[in-house]
Amino acid sequence: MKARSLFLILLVILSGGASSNASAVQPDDVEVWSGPCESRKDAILSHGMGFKYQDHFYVVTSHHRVYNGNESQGVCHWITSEQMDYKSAPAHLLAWDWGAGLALLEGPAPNHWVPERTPPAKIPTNLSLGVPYASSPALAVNEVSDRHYIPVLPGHYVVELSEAENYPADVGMPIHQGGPGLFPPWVGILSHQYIAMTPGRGSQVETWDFAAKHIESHLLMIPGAAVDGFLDRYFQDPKNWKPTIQATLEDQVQGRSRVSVSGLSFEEECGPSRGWLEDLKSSDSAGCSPAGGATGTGPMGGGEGHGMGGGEGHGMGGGQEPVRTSGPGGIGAGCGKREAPSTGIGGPQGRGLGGGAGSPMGGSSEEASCRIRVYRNAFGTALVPNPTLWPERAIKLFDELKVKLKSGGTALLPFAYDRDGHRAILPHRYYSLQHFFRQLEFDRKDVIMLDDTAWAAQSPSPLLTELRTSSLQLADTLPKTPFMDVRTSAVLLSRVQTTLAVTASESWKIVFPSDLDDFIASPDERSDWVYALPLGRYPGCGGPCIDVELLKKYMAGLTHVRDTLDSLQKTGAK
Amino acid sequence: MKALVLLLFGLSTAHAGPVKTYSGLVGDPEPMQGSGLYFTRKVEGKLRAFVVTSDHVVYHGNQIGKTEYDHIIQFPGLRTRAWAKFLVAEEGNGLALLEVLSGSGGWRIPGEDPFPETRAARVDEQITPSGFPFGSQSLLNSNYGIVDSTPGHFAAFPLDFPMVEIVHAIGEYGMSGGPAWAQEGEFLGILAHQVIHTDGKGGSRAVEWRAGEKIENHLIAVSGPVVKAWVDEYFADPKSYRPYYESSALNQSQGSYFYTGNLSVGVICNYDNVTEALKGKCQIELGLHQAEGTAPPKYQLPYFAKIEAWLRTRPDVSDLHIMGFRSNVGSLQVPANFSEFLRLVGRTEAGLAEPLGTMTYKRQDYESRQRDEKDLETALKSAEWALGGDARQLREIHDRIMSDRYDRPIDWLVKPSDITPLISAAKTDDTRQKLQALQDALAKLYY
Repeated sequence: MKARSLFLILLVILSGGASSNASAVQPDDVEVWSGPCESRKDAILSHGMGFKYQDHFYVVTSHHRVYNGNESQGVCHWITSEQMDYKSAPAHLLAWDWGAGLALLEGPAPNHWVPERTPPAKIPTNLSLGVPYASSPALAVNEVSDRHYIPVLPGHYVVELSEAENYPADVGMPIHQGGPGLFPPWVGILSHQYIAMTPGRGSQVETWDFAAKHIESHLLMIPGAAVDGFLDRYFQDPKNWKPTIQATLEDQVQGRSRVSVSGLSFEEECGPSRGWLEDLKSSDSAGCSPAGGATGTGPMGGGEGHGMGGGEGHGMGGGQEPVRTSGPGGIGAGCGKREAPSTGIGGPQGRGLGGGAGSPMGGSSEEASCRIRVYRNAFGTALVPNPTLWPERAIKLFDELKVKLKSGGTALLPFAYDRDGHRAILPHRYYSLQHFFRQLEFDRKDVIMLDDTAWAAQSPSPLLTELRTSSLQLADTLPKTPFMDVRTSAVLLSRVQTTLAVTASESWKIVFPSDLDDFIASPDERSDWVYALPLGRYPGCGGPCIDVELLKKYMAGLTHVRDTLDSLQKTGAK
Repeated sequence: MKALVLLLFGLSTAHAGPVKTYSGLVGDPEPMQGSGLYFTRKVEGKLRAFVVTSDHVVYHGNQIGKTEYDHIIQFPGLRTRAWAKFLVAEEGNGLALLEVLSGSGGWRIPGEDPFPETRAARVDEQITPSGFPFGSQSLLNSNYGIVDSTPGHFAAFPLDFPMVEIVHAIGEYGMSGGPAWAQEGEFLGILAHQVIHTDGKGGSRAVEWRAGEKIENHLIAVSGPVVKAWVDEYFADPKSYRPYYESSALNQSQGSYFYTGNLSVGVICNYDNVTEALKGKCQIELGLHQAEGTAPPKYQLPYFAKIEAWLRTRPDVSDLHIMGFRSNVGSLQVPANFSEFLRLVGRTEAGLAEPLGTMTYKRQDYESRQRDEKDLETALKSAEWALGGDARQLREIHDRIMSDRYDRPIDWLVKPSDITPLISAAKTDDTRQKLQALQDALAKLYY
């Protein structure tokens, strides 16, 4: 201990008498460069926490600014630090986990002192945290924040920091307790998220934009316990270590939002639906990245977004900007278009911190417009989900999907649902692939829609096929925009669409015929027509004008779906 | 002490403390989200649970016709949730009250948690706003807020009282309705809205956010004692309580309309960005509301009572439009938004301002008014055509007519009598007839 203190004092003296406060570079802070072996200039910079363990030197960092590969794949990593006089040394990637949001590298033993691996310190409430390089300490404002998209995080929380300066390359940087001391205990590492807070709408995990005048930004820290758990899992059995969720280097480079777990590939398809019938077909022509088809070996697509760690940005989930050449593209690319913020229903008076119909933070779009495509991945079978890390619902879902996709085909997960206080089906849609995995912790039901191949393999009864077909066809013919764009109409239209999606899915049994009765109005009951108006209007009509014949057709369609459902549930037929 | 209090809020399913609120139409995939202060109270000898929150994060109703609303309370920590019933909202102080329904969602009132100890905030003291940001179920406590002032000038509500302005704190969308706490745990206020400080031009006001225009964020909270007094007033006689300013769920989805007594008050604004909004470009529409019953006079300010009484004597008048106010020092003030109008009404009540720019619409159905406005435009064009080279004299009137409905103070308004001098000066009969037609068209719409 004495020797270490003496060494640190020497360091301080040699570095020009730098103070021991947060602005000093801590000895465990390591720069990590990652890029093509043949083009060092294209490598990207991040930071990591260096430590010694069993006579080896390791660096743990946030995964998204490290390419998921090594020399055999043309990827090289270099580490350097102030203590190394910024001379770089090659490093080898040992573990890269999309699910945990972490990566582990091994480098040559440095000539200078580095700390041994130590357990992280607890994060006391309201502790001021020191961030290396930052001129001011960070403040922990939420020790159990759920505002992140790290899919498999034990405890499911990160720590939100504010008041800290941050740069894109700071990702992965170790964070220590603030206060006095030459080398205060570490408490976590900086993840890459940047939360932009703007008044009048929900905060967003966004790509950093110097031009934007965000009133506040938060950084998110992966807590030390989660980092330590990741290291434990690796060091317990390095040879057999597997990531909780795998993403390939190819997809990372291409910015394709596709990952594998439990023998399945999951891929996000974002943007406006083309209609369920179209969406359920092979997504080669989808507006987002092309899917790989049933085998997962289809053409690689380049998403428009740069997602998690893309380029210079911090965004998780991607935006609509193109992949930047300076970055690895990242996982989580999105292609959703950013819409104008919704106007608050409850806040038209131009005030208020809350309310409104905006969308929650995160994702590739302000609209939860992503569907998740699932197909079997023969190369992903080894990734058996660890029940201590995954919620029960996730494991059940994976098992169910594996059975349903046994004979090929794909499944589309449009949303999960629960029921609200009035027993209405309440859809919970997805903002991104990360968001989808994060939502599995909630007690909700998953909606699984099978494509024709997977559907046929289930040998469904003619009646069930009729329910699926009629639901899909009716859903696709309903108007895309609600009547007069009022909220009540929008919600009613959404409810009808949601219900039809569920009746067309593997979850049809949970819809009651009475759910559909809510939407069926008789042409003879004039008062009910007002309620049904969102389903029928003249094309292009800007006023209160409806197409009665069209409305009758919709009502007939809904009645048919209801009656088919009723017959199925009465007979218990499959 | 405060840390302990906040920790307890975070770990338990229900204590007098912050909760998350959702309010939406039944089946609404994107309900409004806010925060609130949970407490229990014995009503008629029975322990019941309530949440006081901001009025703009909940729909003001439970059922309107076939349209039903859901109100959900999410407790921190254990993700327990329960259904709630809307009780009352007061636009006058920006507060709303919900009752949490014991037994709903598997939740039951765990015990007595009375309204927290309350006091007024002191300038420069440390304050902790708390609440649930939009899209998050985890409680955010911003521990380093400072009470900047307790000003009257940011009182965006007509029931004029000093509010609490907070700086150096994190206050996000979704935290509206959340409580703010003193260091020792006393309740200091309910987060109400933001002040967006612009870049020094035009002062600072609470305005609707527009893309790309934001610099600094201050938080405004309704003072704790005001909240407590309002809650107490409601519980003193819940059945006969009426808000001063009432807005139904239907009004909320249609725009800035509310009722005071039997008067319907709406605001029509026309601006595209904050800079424009700061200039003041709203006019206020006042008309009789037919459906509501008579409100107890106790809950209507004399200013509105006077207008309501006048409208009752003029069945031919559809509504009044107020374009601006003149302050007691002579400056013209055009409300920049709904809240500011209410504040100006408050100033009028206090004798600090007088309304001006009243424009009176004749009672017409919607189609007739549309038709007459179209006729006016036609007559205007026709008159301009007839005037030919002399059209310049009509140019100003043209501009005024085309813009009078939105963004001009009283001296821009055109009345039928304004056309008379032009008629007198007309050089030809044709021109005179065209101008006469213009005057008639104006008279069809306005007094």
